[in-house]
Amino acid sequence: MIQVNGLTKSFEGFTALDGVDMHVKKGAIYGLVGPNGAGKSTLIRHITGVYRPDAGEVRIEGEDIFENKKAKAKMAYIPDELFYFMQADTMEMKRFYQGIYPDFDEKLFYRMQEFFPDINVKRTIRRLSKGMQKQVAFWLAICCKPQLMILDEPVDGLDPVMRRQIWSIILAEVAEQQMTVLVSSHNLRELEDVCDHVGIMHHGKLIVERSLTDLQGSVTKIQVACVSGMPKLPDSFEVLHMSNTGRVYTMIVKGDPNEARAALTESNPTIVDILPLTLEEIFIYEMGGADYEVKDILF
Amino acid sequence: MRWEVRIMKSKTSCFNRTIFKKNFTHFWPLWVLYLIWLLMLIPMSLWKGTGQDWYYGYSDGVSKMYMLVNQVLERALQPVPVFLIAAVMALAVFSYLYAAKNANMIHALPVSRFELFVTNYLSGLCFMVIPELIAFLFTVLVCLGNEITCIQYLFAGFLCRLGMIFFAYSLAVFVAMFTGHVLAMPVYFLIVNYLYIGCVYLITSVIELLCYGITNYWNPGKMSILSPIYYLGNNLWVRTVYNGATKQLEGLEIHGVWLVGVYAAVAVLFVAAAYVLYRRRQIETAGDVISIGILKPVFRWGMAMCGGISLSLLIAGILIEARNVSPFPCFLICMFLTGFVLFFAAQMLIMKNFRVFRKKRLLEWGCFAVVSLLFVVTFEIDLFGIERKLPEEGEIEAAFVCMDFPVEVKQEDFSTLLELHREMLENKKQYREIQRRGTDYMYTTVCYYLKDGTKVERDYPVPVRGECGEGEMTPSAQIQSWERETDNLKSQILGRGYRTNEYLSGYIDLYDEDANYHNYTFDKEELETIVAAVERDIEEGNYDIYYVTGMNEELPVTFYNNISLDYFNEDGLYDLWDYFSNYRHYHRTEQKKEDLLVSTNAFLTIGPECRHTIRALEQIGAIGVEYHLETVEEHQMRTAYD
Repeated sequence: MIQVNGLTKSFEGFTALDGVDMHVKKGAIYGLVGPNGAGKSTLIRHITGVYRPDAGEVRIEGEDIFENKKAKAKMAYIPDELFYFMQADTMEMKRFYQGIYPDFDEKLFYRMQEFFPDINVKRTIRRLSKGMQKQVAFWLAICCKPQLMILDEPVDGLDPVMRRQIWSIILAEVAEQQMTVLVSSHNLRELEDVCDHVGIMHHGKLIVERSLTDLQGSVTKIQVACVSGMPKLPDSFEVLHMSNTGRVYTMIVKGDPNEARAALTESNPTIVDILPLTLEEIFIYEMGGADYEVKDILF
Repeated sequence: MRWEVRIMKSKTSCFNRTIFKKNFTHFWPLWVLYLIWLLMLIPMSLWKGTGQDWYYGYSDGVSKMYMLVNQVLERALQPVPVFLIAAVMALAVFSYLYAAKNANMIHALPVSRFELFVTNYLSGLCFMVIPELIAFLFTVLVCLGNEITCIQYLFAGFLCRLGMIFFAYSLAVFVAMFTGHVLAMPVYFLIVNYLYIGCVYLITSVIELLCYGITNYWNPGKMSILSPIYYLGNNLWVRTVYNGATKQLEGLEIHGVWLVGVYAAVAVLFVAAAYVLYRRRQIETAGDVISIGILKPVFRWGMAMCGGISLSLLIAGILIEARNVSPFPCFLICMFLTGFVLFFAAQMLIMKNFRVFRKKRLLEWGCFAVVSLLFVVTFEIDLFGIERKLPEEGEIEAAFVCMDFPVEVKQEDFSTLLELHREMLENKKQYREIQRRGTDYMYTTVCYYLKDGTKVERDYPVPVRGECGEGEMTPSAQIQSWERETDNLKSQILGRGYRTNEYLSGYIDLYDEDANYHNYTFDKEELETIVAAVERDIEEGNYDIYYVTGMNEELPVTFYNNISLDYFNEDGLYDLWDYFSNYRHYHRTEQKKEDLLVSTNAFLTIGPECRHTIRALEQIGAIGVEYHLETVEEHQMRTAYD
């Protein structure tokens, strides 16, 4: 659905994107994570056709997105900072989107009203709470019937119930309509629940791009209690981190967890426990490998 | 299916009705206010005027109608409000470019930039054109209801306004593309509109400051067409047309319609250029004072140069006035300092950061300082020969020299005047030194009106006393001898047409012993007596010391009582000073004589030397037992005592 090849962008000599390659399959929910200033929002603004690339290309279903009205019509974008016209209420914004997006589903708009019972559609949107403004954005975006939904910090400001509700609507669209979702967020626990693919950005580059299953399968946390001292793993395993509390050693290991267990069992440990890493932990360790200042938060 | 949806699905996509409709509904206060203002400006004021029995002194139907329409059109053709409103409209419809979140949202929509540009451009234009149309329709209705038959002038005025709107708005949109900052846009629009004459003014001011003898050098000429508000303000006007035979108003003339046409044609180029800029625009520049990279150095240099010159002129002017410092070093130092401050202030605005003192920028400022130095030195050493410029005798149409009062130099004396002028130039150092001492000189203007329509005017501090001022061959002696010539002095005192003046009335200010003011008005016979006496005094040179002051070591004793003589001259020959300043106006081929036909007055300063005048006043009984003349000093002492 999305192909980004060698995308480069500089602002006043500062390289915000440095040859980014990114690929998002149709129907995927792709989580874009990275530290502040990594270039996530800049990348998203290229994917939405707002920014013109200095080099490289951004394609949506094989078509260059910049100044491509047809390709943009397939896409709905909810930015981190929402914008509504001054004095506009939900109904007016609905009419605006209806005029702009060819596939806008008016019936769906009224059907979905039951999901947003607290929103007064006649009230100026700018006078609604931040969370409600976000709800309106989702409501309108879903009604555009997009094939691609791009979300930049989407649930920021929403209460837990509304978060679940929004995600359930999105997931339903993904399941029923094969909608592709690109979501950028710092809420990694939430992304872990919904994403099937993850891209980690750092210093304007996409340093990791894999399915969440692959990512979680390749890096594991192993807890070993050894009487005979520090456990050893063959050189084929990369130990990202090791710490100990008494005789209990905690290792973050890159490699097949079953092979690691077999290798460790040879040294007769009291306990060998293999635990999956959360996305947050993977992020922290990957960032640690990319010289990101995470030393203080390593456990 | 709703109309917006139907439109969206059409293949034609240079215009988006949804955005157009959104613009109209969101910015309604702008066009509604504009409409109200227009209705008050044109149809309402027309209607109000028709309700009066007279208008500007005209009471007969036809004259009143023309006067009324003339007044309405005069107000309607003022360019400043049109340009102001055009800037507001352009700012409103393209305001989304000035905030990052707005710009991002709009450009993420499935609407091409061409569609966005055309739709927003047309929206803003309609905000102005539709109210204009409505106001014009109301105007026509007012005309029909009040028997105003000269609608053709109002229609021409309406077309002129449309032309101005098209140009002003297109220019505003063009300027709007240069910036990503909402406050910068109106500033740039103002600068663009006054850029040419502003630069000419600054350079002129520097020349006047640094070059010897240069004053009133300001002459932007026809090139000021590059400053639209200024040029339209001076060249688009309406006037009444009189019938030569009946002296009745017979129509109106709108001058400068062609000019509006030229500007409207240029507006097309601005629209095209604005679209090209919009197409190339980087949306991430929202919030930047400059949105086009290559213009950033222009911004830095322009702000430093123009702002530097302006501030330096101000500071140097104050220092020269207060401390009598030499203009060149003072201006140069000010230029370096203010240029430095403004150069880096501009960079701070560009970068939105205070940390701008990088090596590269300091080197750039070094280049700027060198250019500033060259700029200032160029005028100081008179590289272009501005100071030394003297017209050829054959080029001169008319020449004036003004020490105490303007003297129109006779053609046979042109060579003498040029000689004097050369001497004033050759003695630059001495004259400047005398000027610095602050005494014994008089500013003297030498002015040539050339046959090619240009004017050369110079102002020199000519010594009137001391070693440079005394003697029969000095410039001051020659100029004073011209001033003392009877014809010139009579022209100064009684007006240029003193030979054919028809004296209408006159009076003298008098005070009795108790300091009570009395205005003695002359009757027709007394008036003739006084004028004859004044003329005789002038012929005998009795007025010389009061009007040719350069020759006096001390201020002459003058009477506090002044004589005022009202007169009319059928040849339109009046005040000498006005003639000196507006020579071209008096000699315009299209200048109508009736435009000059107004009466004026001569206000005479008299003193004890004016024997014939005093005798005439005694003879007619204006002064005598009850009232008498008193000197300024006597009057001041008496009033101080009182």
